[in-house]
Amino acid sequence: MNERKSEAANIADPETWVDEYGDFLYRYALSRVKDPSVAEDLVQETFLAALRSRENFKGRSTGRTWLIAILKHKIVDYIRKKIREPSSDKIEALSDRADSDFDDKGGWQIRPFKWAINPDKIYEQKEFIDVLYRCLAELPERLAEAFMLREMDGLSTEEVCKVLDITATNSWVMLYRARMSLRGCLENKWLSAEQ
Amino acid sequence: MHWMFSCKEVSQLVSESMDRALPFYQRVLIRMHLLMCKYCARLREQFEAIRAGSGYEQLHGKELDDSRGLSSDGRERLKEFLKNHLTGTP
Repeated sequence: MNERKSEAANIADPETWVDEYGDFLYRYALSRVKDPSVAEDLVQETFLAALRSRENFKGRSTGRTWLIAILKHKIVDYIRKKIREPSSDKIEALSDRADSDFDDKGGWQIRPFKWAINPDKIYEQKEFIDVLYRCLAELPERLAEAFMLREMDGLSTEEVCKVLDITATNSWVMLYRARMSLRGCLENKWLSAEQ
Repeated sequence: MHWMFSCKEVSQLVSESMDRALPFYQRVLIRMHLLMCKYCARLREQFEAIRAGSGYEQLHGKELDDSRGLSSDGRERLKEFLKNHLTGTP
């Protein structure tokens, strides 16, 4: 209880943010982008976004969790700009790609590989996480947004629907396309790097 | 309602089951399908790995290199930045 209170107090006082969260956010950013000055810029952008939306911090999560969620969005934005392939928002194209995994009868045309990965020890798989971020940055923006709200921010699908102003059915379709696209991308980029 | 799902339908439903509770009959049919189809079972594992890789719940900082923090210059720059924004100084 006291911890939760002090979290709320920390977030209410931005002057403490650098000392409380700066190192952690910086390390996280650095683990994703490798470049110290970029990592620092991302932390700065995270603080700026947090300043602008701090009234939205309801204390449901810890301050650190809230800030790291903002940082993850910034990292994906950064990677998206860096790869200079502005993700077209043609979600239909992704639908075709997901469809091409299957034949006309709905059987697998391109069979999924067995991934040598233990979800419980996922953070030991740095390469996997790096490629996952790169793949996320290649998703059409709206799909990436839906996916990140759900999987990175931990929002319920109802909350995702409210934020994106979409129906529940739409959200399930978008999340399906995002997952199928990510797994295809990971099979191409991560597995080929592993082999 | 049909009693045999195709792999494509199972792939959609496995994803959907990560976002909402599916009806009981669908859960049973999916489970049966996954027992018989190793490719769909692999797909489910892949979706779970993607969720684990994206999830913040697992993020306790243990994967991060503790030895590297902000430089003292960086720390000062960020503090200055926040201070300026709080006081409205450009």
